[in-house]
Amino acid sequence: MRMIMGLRRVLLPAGLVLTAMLTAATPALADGSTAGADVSVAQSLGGRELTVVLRRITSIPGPLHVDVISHAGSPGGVLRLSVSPTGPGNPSAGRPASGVVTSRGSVTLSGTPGAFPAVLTVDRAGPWELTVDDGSQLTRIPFQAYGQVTSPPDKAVYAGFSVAGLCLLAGLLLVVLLGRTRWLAVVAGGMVSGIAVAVTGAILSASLPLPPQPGTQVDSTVQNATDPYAGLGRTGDYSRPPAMLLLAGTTLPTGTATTVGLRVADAATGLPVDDVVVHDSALMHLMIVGPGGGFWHLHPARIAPGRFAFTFRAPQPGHYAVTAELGRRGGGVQMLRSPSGLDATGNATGAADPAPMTANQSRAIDGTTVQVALPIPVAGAPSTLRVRVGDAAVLQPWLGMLGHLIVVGPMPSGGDTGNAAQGAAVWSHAHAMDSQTVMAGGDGMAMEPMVPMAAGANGESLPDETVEAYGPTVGFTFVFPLPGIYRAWIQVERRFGIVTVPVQITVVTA
Amino acid sequence: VKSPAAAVAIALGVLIAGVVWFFATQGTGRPVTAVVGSARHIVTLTLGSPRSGDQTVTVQVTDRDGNPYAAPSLAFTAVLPTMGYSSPAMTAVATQGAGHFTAAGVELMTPGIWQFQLSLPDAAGKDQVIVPVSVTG
Repeated sequence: MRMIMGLRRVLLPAGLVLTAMLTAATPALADGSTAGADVSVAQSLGGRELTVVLRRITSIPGPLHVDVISHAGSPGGVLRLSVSPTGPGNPSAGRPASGVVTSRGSVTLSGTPGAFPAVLTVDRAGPWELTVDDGSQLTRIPFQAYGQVTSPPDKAVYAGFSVAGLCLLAGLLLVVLLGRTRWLAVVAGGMVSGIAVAVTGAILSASLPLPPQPGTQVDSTVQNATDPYAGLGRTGDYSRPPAMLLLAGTTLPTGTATTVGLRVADAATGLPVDDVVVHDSALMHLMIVGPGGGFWHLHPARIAPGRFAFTFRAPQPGHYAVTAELGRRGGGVQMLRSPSGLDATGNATGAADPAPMTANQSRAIDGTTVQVALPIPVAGAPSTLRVRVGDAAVLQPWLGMLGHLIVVGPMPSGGDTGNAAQGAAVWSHAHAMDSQTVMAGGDGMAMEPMVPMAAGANGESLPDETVEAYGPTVGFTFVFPLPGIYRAWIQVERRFGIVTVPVQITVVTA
Repeated sequence: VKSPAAAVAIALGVLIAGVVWFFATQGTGRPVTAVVGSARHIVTLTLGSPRSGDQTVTVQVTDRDGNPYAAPSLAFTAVLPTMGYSSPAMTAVATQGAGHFTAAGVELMTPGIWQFQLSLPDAAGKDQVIVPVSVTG
């Protein structure tokens, strides 16, 4: 009897601890689709500038909620959507092999800017393709559906507590029903071992790095679909060779909407690059500088593996410098400057491009008052440019950022901007991110709320571009590497339209 | 059980069985089979052992209706994108009837996620299927 009382003294607290551990450990488990947040993908499809938002997938099989956000000036019409799995499957899975459409939907754009929803279905984890077709052009957006994953430490937690629980039960049965006290050493030892394993697993679970993520870091395979922890050693370096940008054609007529094809090829093998991932809310950011100082920031449609296309209407004859930004799976965002660019022939059409703003001045752009605060930067030292767009905090995050600054130079003042940009030593793309940059001016441009930069745990997502809550002042800090005259374009989103502010900056020698 | 020694022996036995089970189920050397489809074809590719070294690749190809891909051979390359490596063009020959192809001595020189890029031309034109497979050391 004393033995049983003693046992109770040991087992009761042990049981309580065990229960506490089981409940306390649960939130720390790395289960679930932590990588599965909303994905926004900007697409210049035909004459429309769209943002396709793929909402977080919460169950597989389950619904995929897609919001198509149209911008000011995008005409109404119907977009047909479809999804098809693209990855390798297990032969015993009993589902049709990848490569065919499994679910369809459509959205009807009204012509008024805003978000237009559609719901499709995904039936398996792994890589997928969302096709958006406007009737004349289509784009294939790759995305990843993440399934439930149990990490090795989590498995240790489950196994450890299971062993401890079984030992507890066995101990009770042996002592209370059979009166065999000799076994207690084994049973108690098993229980302690089980709890030790489980506690170790629970502590490690929260702090161990995630395995390489199929889709963003490594290719999806049959093996890593079921267990991303299996097989490969985690080297931390999944990067790939640089890519090359090949323009299908280099001449086009002025004043006519022309579809220009692009190919992206691997610089080591020459093979088509089909591992472009969404970076800064687009598969590819294409920037074009025209002969009159015009600036275009487009997001070409992915029409096939390694092949993109965009529609471009060149207003003036002359040279257009072309640069693309993209990121390949495994990391390594890169800027690809086309060595050819585009040449437009024909007569000038439309109004001439507005002259760049060169000092602290204000100007109405697209009906909005824009005020710039330009420093006189010193080469090699950080300088901060700020712009105030309108008077209300209604700026929207565009491409995940409050503002974009594209800097090209040094180049001669005036003259042919397209040719000068083609040969410019500096071509940069900075982002407006923090309130500190805005505060640094000290000229009365007040601190504004800023877009959160990091997604929260448990699949929380960043505000998308339907949130009109930021600005009106945005700031950029940039170190001009060389002295000289630079052309720059600041872009923000306001009332679902992109406001582009052309500026010219003269950088002096230290 | 009459002695603590026996109890310890049993506990040790359980421990050893657990360790053996753990390593037996890791099995990185077992054949791996992946099924990848295109709009016109379905490829079932089996790698004899997903480890680096010379390996045998067997491929079964059908159209989307299940009819075998009738060709005497199949051209493919083995590509390791992270290294920027592509093998020379290789050929898998039809060995066990229509639609079944085998290539022996395919050199996968280092661990990584390899891609088998298969060309499947048919009456409708070119078609390509890429099968990625994790290969360990």
